[in-house]
Order: sequence, then structure tokens, then C-alpha cells
Amino acid sequence: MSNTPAFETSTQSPAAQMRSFSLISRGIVQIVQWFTQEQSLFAFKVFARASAALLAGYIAAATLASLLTLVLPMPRFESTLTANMLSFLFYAIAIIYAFCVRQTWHAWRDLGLVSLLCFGLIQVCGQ
Amino acid sequence: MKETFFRTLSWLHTWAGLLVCWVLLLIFFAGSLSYFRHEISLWNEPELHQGVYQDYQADTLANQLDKGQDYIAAHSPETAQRWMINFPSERKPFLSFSWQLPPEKGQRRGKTEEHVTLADGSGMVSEVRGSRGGDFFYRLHFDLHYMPAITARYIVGVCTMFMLIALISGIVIHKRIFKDLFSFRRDKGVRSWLDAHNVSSVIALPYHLMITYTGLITLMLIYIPWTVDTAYSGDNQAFLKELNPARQTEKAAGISAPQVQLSQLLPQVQAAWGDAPIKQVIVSYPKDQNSQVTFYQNTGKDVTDEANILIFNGVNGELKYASPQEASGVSATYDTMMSLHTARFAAPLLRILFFFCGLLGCAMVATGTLMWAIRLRQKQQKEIDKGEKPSLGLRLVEGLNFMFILGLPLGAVSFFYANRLLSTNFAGRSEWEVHSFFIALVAMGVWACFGRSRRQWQRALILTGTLCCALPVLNAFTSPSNLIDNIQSQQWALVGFDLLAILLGGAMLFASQRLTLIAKAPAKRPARPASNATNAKADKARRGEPQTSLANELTSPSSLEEAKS
Repeated sequence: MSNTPAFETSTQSPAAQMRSFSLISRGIVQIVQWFTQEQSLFAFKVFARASAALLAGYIAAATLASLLTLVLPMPRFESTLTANMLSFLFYAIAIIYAFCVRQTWHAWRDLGLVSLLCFGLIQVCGQ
Repeated sequence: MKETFFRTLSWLHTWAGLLVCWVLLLIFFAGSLSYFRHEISLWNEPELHQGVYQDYQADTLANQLDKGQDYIAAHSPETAQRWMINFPSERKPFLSFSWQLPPEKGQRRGKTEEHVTLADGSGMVSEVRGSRGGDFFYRLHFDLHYMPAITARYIVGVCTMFMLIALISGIVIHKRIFKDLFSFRRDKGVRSWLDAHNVSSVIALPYHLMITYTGLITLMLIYIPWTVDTAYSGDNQAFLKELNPARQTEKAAGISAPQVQLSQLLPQVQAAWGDAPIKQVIVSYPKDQNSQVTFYQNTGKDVTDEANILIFNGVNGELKYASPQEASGVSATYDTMMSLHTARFAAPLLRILFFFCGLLGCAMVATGTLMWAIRLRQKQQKEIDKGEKPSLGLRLVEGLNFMFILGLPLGAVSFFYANRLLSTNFAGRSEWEVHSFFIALVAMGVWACFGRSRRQWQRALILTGTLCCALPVLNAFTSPSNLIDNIQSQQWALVGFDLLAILLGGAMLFASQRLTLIAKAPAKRPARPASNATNAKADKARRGEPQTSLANELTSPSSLEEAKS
């Protein structure tokens, strides 16, 4: 990055400071421009949704499955197997949801909320 | 993501499928071959091709058990951890005695040595060449190779999840799933490729869904261990004990004790099971105070995969555990899922059907990725015509297609050649068999760097097809019995191997022949070196489907989007 030396050059002459300021501002402008480009905006959205799908989706599926092991009305061995077998279905649904929900950040929000809700219920049921 | 649900899933289908398609191809290919795991293992051990075959004989069990116990006690080292007596079964038609040594440093399990009895009782076959046989392909499809097994399983798990997403989104975006099943429009460029992709996917769709989901389920405790943590408060051992009651938790005591005579346990076994055949008897920690003896029933064609076992104390012969007659619904479901994946219940014909479904899976992945390469090339056609180089992405995709679609069959074939041609005394032979698989794969990758034109596809196909067709000849020269002998002595496993090799090799040669026809056809073919849009067809032709003409393909503007609507 062109603006990193600026932080170490505070003892330099005002002219040099001005130069580094202009470098920083130009760098910022470039970054902003890069982010507002349609292509990079799309790339960012893809990254946000893919990470939500893979990460938040996994957490949501795993917590939901863990919750099921506690609440299903069967012996714990059977409920564990059932929940585990279903967990991949939950994961698949979560992934598709993350890509299909209208707003990008809603993917993180909703999957996070599901995980939190399940986690809370596990705490309640586990006692 | 995109404006509509349909377009989003279409986008998702493309990327979920493409990002991991070559790993998926490897998994599908190795997985399909591992349906014939035992048959491949048998083929790879020509020492066992003569004189060892026998049927299960219920009336000589006691005799065979005594003989096995005496033999193992006399020949195995004191440190052996397990003794195993394997009775003849449908897929392993011989009686063998084996023992497992303690694991060496850094290994998870010890080596097993297996000696096979001659059918006339005149002796033992103890010198069998070291080969991993079908186990290599079996392990390859979820443990990969050259990396720790656990890492590989996570990689395979992620790829399988991608596959599941690609399947689900593929079903959603395939609007006319029923109608398209009956339509194959040849000579229509990308559209024909799309049709080939659809047909290979939809014909075996239930199979694809089943194999993907049950594949995840076979390793689900690695992927989502949190359920056990929650339900059992972290006591994983308790869960594993319930999952697999045969699991021995106590270690060897180190105090020696007399070993119970195995044949004395037979009356108890027969009381519990009647005349049901026994598959295997395992003595763990022989001659130790904590020794235990496990009898495995040969459950044959039951769809559930649950082992039916009896466990005895190895010192006094007391019955410790018997599998319950009635399994709960959930564990029966789980066992059925496992067994659907492994097809252990499948009779030969059904097994072959599973194998071809697996090959259709390969075709699905291959046509998908080839279609991608063609579309990429179409987009860049103008620049390429001007003399510019194709983009890095396109070259990478075409190269990887060439490497994996042609390299995997060649790798398997060279694995079998290495098995027969490497000296039996060579110490590292079983490793070098495996290396030869990957050497062939990498060789194809190198080949792809230098040329991926239709001509190259054709040459590679001829090479692989010829080698594959020659496998029965190789077998005839390097094993005691050739194809005709095997038919006469009704060794259907070996016969089937040879016939399948000829069939698949013939299909490859046929495909290369079709490529020649296209090459000779005076189509309005622009002079264009190294065009993969055309090479790509090799694979389709390999599967015996008609291929599109080059001219149509280049002029056809139909994009995937249009083709779907």
C-alpha cells in the first residue's frame, strides 16, 4: 500500500507531509472507487454470502441438530443419530437460504439468529 | 444473489459444481471402482487364482476352526493382537487364517498377514504379493492419498456438500425434468452438451442424491460431532459403545491365560443362530486375560448393514453379548443408509447397476465441466480468432479436464499393470503400485500442458483403451489361469474383471474412432490450432453418445440460460 510510510514520517518537512497526505487521500479514493465498482461490489457480496453459507450455515445446522438431540422424544442414542442424519439437510437449506435471501447482510443476521436461538434453547433444555 | 430465485440457483449450480468438480470426479471414479473392491483385490493377487476356491461347509466348521486356531498359534508371533479366521463367502470364496500385528510407530493400525488354505486341504498359500488391491480405490475415495486421513476427510466432506448443493439447485433449475429426460438433441452445440449433462444426471438422479447424502452420513460423526457432545455431555466413548457394541474398550491385561478352544463355542453359536453361515471369527488379544472372541454372521443380502455378532469371553467361553434381534427404527434407518452407500447387500447384477450409476455420476461431472470449458471458449472466441492467447482460466480448465477425465482411467489401468509387472520380491511394491496411479495422472497433466487438441484427446484415448483392452492378455500371462480357464472353472469375479476391462477399453477405442470420423469430416472447419471446444467432445463420445459437429458448435449462440428456458 502506498500510504503506509506516512505514519513513520511525522518528523519530516511540511512539504513531505503534504505529499504523504495526498498519497493517503489518493489511496482512500482509490479504495472507495474500487468498492463502488460494480464488479468488486459483486465480489464482496459473493464473499459475504459464501462465508455466511459455509460458516454461519454450519453453525446454525450444528446447533439445530444439537438441540434436536435434546428435545426429540426418544432415547438419547436414537435422537443423536436422527439429529446427525438430518443435520446435512439443515446445512443444505441454510446454504441455499444464504444465497437466496434478498439482502446480503440478512444472510448473516438470520442464520446468526437461528444459531443463537438454538444455542439458548440448548442451554435451557440442557438443565 | 441475483434478481430471481431461479437465476440465483442457476448461478449457485454453476459455481458449486465447478469449484470442486475435479475432486468430485476423482471421488466418483474411485468410489465406483470400490464397488468391486474384493474382486479387484482378488485380481491383484494371482497367487490365489488357483486351488483355493471352496464353498462354505457347515459340517466341517469345528474342524476348520481347530485347524485355524492351531495354525495361527503356531505361525503368528507372540505379539499378534488379533487372530482372524475368515470363512468362505460369496465374494471371498476361500478359507483364510490371518493375524494382525501391533501398530508400528506412527501407524494407526497394525499390518495384517493372511494365509489362505488350499481347497483340498493339502497346505497353505502364504506367499501372496503385497498389493493394496481394491482397498486402494476404497480408501482413495474418502481418504485421498499423500495426506493425513482426517484432513482428507474434511476436504471430501466439503466437496460432498458442494455436490449436494449442486444437485439440489440443479433439480430446481431443471424446469422440464421429465420432458428433457427423453430428449437428446445431437449436433446442436452446447445444447447437446447440456442434454448429455441432463441425461446423465437425471437418469441416475435418485442414485446421485442417495450416494451424496449417505456419503455425508457415513462420516457424519467427524463432520458434526457436536450432537454427541450435547447429548452425552462429552462422553463420546459411551456413544461409540452404543453405536458399535463389538468395540472392545478394555486393553490387554498383560497377564497370560489359556485360550478357549474355538470349536467349543460352536454349540452356543448354533443355539443362537441355527444354521446361519458364519463369516468371520476374531480373537482379540489372544492368550490374554482380557481376550474376547467375536463371531460375525454372514448377513448376506440383508439391506441393513448391522453386523450380527456374538461375543464370548476368550478365556472361559462365556457369552458376553449378542446382537439384539429387533433393531430400533432409527438405528435400522442408519444401518440402511450406510449399507445403501456401500452396497454390501447387492447381488452381482445389482452391483453392476450401482457401478454404472457411479459411472453416470462421472459422466455428469465430466459433461458439466466440459460444457463450462466450451462456453468459456465461446466467450473468448473473437479474441482467440484475432490470434490472442486464451485466458489463464480457460487454459487451466481445459488442462484440468484433460488431466482428470483421461488421467483417472489411465491411472487405474497403470495401477493394474504395476501390480502384475513389478517384481513380487520388491519390498515397496504395494506403495509403487499406488505411485504408478498418480504418476499416470500427473503424466496426463504434463501432456495437457503441451497439447489439448482433439488429436491429443484421440491419442490419449487410444492409449488408455488399448492398455485397458490388453488387461485380460496381461492376466493370462501373469497369472495361473486365463479368461477361458476362469470361465471353465466358474471364477466369475475374475471373468467379470476381464470382461469389464474389455468393455470399458472398447468404449474408449470406439470414442477415439468417432473422433477420427469428426476429424475427417469436411465440416466448415476454421483452421484453428489446439481447440478444446472440439476436444471436449471426446468424453461424450467415450460414453457412446453421438457428438456434435464442430461447425454447429461454434456457430450456435445458445447460451445455457437460453437453453434452459
